[in-house]
Amino acid sequence: MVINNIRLFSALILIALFLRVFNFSHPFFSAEETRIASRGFLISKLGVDEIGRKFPYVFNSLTDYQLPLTTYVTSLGTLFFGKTDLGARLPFFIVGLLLVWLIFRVAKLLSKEKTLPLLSILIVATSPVLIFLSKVPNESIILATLLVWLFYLLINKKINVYLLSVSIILMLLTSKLAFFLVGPFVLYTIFCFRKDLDLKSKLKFSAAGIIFPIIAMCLFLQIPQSQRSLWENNLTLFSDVTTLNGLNKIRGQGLESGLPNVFEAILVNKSFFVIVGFLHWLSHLQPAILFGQFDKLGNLGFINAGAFLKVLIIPAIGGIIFLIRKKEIKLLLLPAVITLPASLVYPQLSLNLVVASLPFIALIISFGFFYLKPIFLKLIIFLIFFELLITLSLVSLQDKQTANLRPIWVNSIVEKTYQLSINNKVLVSDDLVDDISPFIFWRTNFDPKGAFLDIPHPYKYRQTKLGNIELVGASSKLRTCGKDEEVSFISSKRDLERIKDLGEATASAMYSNNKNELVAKLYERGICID
Amino acid sequence: MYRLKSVKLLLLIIVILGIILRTWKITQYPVQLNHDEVSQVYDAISIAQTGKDIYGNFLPTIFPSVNDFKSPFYTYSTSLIYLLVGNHEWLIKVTGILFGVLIIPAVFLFTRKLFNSSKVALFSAFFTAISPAEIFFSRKSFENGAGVFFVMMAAFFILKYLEKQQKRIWLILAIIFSSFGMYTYFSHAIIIPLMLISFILIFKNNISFKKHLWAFLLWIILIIPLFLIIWTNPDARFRSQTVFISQDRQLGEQISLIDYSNAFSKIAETKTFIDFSFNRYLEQFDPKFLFATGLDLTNQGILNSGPLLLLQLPLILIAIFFLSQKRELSLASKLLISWMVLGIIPSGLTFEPHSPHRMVIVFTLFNILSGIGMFWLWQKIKTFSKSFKLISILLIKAALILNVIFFLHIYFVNYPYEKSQYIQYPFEQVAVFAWSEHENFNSIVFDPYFGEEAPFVGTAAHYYLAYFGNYSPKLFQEQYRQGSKEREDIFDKFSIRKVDWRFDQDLKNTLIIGSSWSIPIDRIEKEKIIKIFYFYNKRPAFYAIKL
Repeated sequence: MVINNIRLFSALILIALFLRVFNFSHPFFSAEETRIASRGFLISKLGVDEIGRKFPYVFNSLTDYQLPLTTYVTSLGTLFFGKTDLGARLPFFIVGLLLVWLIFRVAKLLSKEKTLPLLSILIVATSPVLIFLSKVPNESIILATLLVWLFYLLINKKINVYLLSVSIILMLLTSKLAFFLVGPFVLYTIFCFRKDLDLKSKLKFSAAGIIFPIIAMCLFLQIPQSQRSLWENNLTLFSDVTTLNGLNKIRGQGLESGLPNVFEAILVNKSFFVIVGFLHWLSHLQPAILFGQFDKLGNLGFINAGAFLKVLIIPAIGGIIFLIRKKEIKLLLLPAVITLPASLVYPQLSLNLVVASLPFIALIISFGFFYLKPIFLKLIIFLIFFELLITLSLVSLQDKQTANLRPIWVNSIVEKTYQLSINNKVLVSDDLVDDISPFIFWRTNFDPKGAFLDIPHPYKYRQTKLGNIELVGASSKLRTCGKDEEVSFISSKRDLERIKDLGEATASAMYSNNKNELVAKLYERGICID
Repeated sequence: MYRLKSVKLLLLIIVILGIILRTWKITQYPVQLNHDEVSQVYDAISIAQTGKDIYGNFLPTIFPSVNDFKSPFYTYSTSLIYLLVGNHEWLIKVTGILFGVLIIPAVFLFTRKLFNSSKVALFSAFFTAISPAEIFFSRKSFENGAGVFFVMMAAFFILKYLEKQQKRIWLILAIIFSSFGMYTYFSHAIIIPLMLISFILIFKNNISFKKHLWAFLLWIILIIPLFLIIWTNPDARFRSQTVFISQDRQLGEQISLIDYSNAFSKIAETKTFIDFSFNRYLEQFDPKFLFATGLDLTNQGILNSGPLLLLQLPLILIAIFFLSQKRELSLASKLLISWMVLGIIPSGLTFEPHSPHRMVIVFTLFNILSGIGMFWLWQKIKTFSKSFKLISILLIKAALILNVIFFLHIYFVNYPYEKSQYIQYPFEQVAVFAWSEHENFNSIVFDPYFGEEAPFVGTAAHYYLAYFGNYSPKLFQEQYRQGSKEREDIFDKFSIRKVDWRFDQDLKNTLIIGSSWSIPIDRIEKEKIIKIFYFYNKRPAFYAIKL
């Protein structure tokens, strides 16, 4: 590495660091991220999770089981920094920076072009999604980093079997998606990128990529309701009835119109599942996701930003042309291989898999810079930082756009809930946010022992009783309190409708979100639950 | 057997195939004239007979129609055809089908000139002939096809002129065709000039500006009336505003969150707008939209039809691969790419998430790409051994036939079941029946509020009643007025309005036609219901009630 490149490398790493530190307290954690953060803290402090299980190997969430690595990584941060956002963010910040460094190493192995590794750093460092995910507890950034590490190990001249195994095992401990991803990825990388290896070695390394996921899947299947978990979250192409219903409807209309049954059976049949999966898979790599809007909800990225900055679409096209001309199609197809398991998850998008493919797409984009004249190169780099600066600066607008998912306004409500619960029972509407219990764990001094349960494997579980705090569902029956009942109620708009006919309870406080919309009212007495 | 023997003969066969796909059972499928067609055909007849549209506007440059302010090309061209052949239900289809068919040889000529290859041109013409978007828009009387035809021909004429730069006639034809294309559809008024600019930039080494200044001036003269219409006619501006992306609800919500007391509010607003529009632009490249759902012919998700056949996806990828392989991108490739980039701009600037009708020219360019991909594949297959060649050809043919048949199944079988209510089916039956009862009642009230799963107000009901009653446009112009009741249009004995059963049940000697969304059918005596009109799937749509 020449001096200039070392300087550039250092500057780019510093830029990556700055972009991840800038506005460090943004974004506010979502319920799911808060759950990971609070669970990490509990693990580091008490060695138990939020329902009291000792060092579990699988966790629960509202939607699915969660594999353990993300939580344990978070616990490392909270071990040193305690119950603070810094403690929860720091491990992911480090993982995000590690990814930047790893992509540099990979780019160096892939091409002799000296500028390619630096360009790759630039693109990964400025990717809005990768910046965002370096600031919140999530499994996507860990999976992406481990995947790049695995790729690095596989294309290294001498493959370190132990490290290879470790990287695969860590991936399998991070996300269920890895069960489906590791096999094809290892096979593809070994057979397409390692022409130098003999067949025996190729088979040996490929076996690692196949055997470990099979073992992991077998172990996972030992957990109660694990089949359901896979069926409902990872194989929805088959469990979701829309495709089958659609086929029956299309065929039924044909029969009703007088077309022969044989004709309908040949034309409209279950082979359409392949077509549906195929098109769904391809749509994960569409330009709108990569350069337009990555995540419409703002869960895995800034709400109006693509995975990469808009202007990078130009070198992306250049990169595709470059690689075709250099007959390096194998790199072009790598993102498609990574997102392949998304074909099984229909109709929702598997953006976690797209995140895992982003470092490799960044490599493809880097190649596109070779076509640019210096003036355009400078212009593109200027536009990269210009757009990024504006995106990172408009955080208050972002906060408003994600007011429900990332409820920055919930602090005052959970703090009041906790204060009231010290002496009395408190009822809280369960639709204030996605799930309020993690916020109570994380944002107050609530004693977690009050929420421990005796359920070993709750699947899709929502905690509704946290000591003196009880969550009120849509079906809970509310009534006027008796004389001696000291119960407070924090009511959402939904429940305000239900209690308006209940006596003369008056609200003592009102809470608004950051869009200045009324979200809750506090009734310090008068409303009880059956 | 598989050699491309005679280019002309093959082109003729392709054109005949295109004609068959665009005209087969055209009076039955789509199952009824849609509201655009019925309003345009009745306005066209009105223009031909009186020189005015049905609202009495003399030779309008924009047709108010049903407050959607239609561009004039299609209506006037239908007027001319009406003068030639008289009134037929297929009258409105003629222009769409004519240009839908003419696009096929136009694509052939343009592609052959651009790539200097008859085989590429034949394959491109073939995909144009069988492409779902081309067939669908041609059969539904859509003016955009005419614009595409004029663009293709204009580009062909310029390329022809550029060969030797001697015969000015080619350049004059190019100017006439390109400027005429701009008159066909609103978005073409913006896109065609941009396409011409990109053409000139790409072929700048072959074009001397000084030498062709006259051509530029001629083009300006020809398009001045168009821009006068756009700038001076408030209806045209209104139309542009109503479809502009700023009308998008999601974008509106995002912009409403901006704090305008903040110094950076303008930056935030501009960024939100750019982000939203850029994303909308890119969303048009969604493979699901292009190859599975874009035409929105069913309610069954991906079990639908895209503007392109699924088989075209690998061919387009092959074409991209084939074109990128060369050391330098050819001028032809640059032109295709730039036109594609420009052709999607209208979709990126309008309020609908996907608007395939605004990017028909892009689908035509995709058909050309498919032709290039097929040509490359053909070249490869020719190098295979005899048996492998035969198997490959059979597989491709089988896939192609299955793909086309599936589209035809969706179009001819499922589309009527699933979407015919959105082309106002069964308004034609309602209109015909209403006229059959015309003499038996003092007043006929029709409430077009209907729907299978959820109600909506069907538009152009007065057009349906007038057109299918062969009502004189002159008389209509005299009679038509807006009433005082909610959404009321009145002519002759007809009142098209919201039915309020609390009051309307007491009317005398009146025929009321409405759906169960506006009339409590269960509470009405059976003998008063003299006719039930059904959706295509045989569920009741409207009831005719005698009072």
